[in-house]
Amino acid sequence: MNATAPAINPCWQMRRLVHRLAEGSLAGILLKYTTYHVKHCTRCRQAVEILRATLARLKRLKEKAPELPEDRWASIEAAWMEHEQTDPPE
Amino acid sequence: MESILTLAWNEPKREPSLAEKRQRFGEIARQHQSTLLRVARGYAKGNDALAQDLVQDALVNGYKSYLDNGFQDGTNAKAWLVRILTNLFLNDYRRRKKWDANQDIEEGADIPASTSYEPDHAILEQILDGPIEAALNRLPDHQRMCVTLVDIEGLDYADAATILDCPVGTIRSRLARARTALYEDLVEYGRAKGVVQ
Repeated sequence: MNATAPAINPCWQMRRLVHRLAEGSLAGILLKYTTYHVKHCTRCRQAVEILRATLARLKRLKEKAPELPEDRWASIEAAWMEHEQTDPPE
Repeated sequence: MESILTLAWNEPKREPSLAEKRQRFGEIARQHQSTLLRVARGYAKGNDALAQDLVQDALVNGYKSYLDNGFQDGTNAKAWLVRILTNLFLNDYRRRKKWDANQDIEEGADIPASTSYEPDHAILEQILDGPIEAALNRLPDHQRMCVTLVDIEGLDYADAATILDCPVGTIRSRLARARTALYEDLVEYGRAKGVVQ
């Protein structure tokens, strides 16, 4: 990273909290405390922004909905039936 | 005189036939196939054929467990199947080192060149899936698996900890390291492509 690139480098005591704030998993007093700190701390605010962007980008990978080809399903169902024959449940 | 409700109540519950059980498990498997394939692809570093092998083996093992009452309808089928798949990966596939290879994910030529400065984190929006997946593949296995389960698939920390058989705190620290490494890797990539100053 060069000098111009922001980094994920929050205050040491905020490390876990900035991740949880970015995930949206904080609530109650922890949410208030972290939000207040981040509002007044450039390093932590930058870290939260970067983490939110990174998490949002990763979530987009879930938009793909791959499916197994039908020949795979045929093999799987054949294996299921073979198992029923060779080792039937009691 | 007994009511219909009482008769239904007293009727012994019929055990489903094997064909009915197979059909029910098939429905569960097809419902979660996309999740399983994405997770397997993440574990297999983008190798589709190996990912399909892994999912196929997981569904065969899953059916055996299903018949042995290893899964109850109404519980978290996705987490249960992902756990079976993960155990297969950890115990079998990785041991056989089938997962090297195949860095055929294309990198490059997919970020529009920019001459103006943008905050580095905004660059992430412009990077296509290929380079993101390549950066994921460069993570250590245990970090990549955490990111795949929690940050991509949206499993909660407790499920991920159960699946990976480690404490929740370990999941948290692996995720923190992985996210930092991913971001830095992608900024480097963006800089190499001339979109990060």
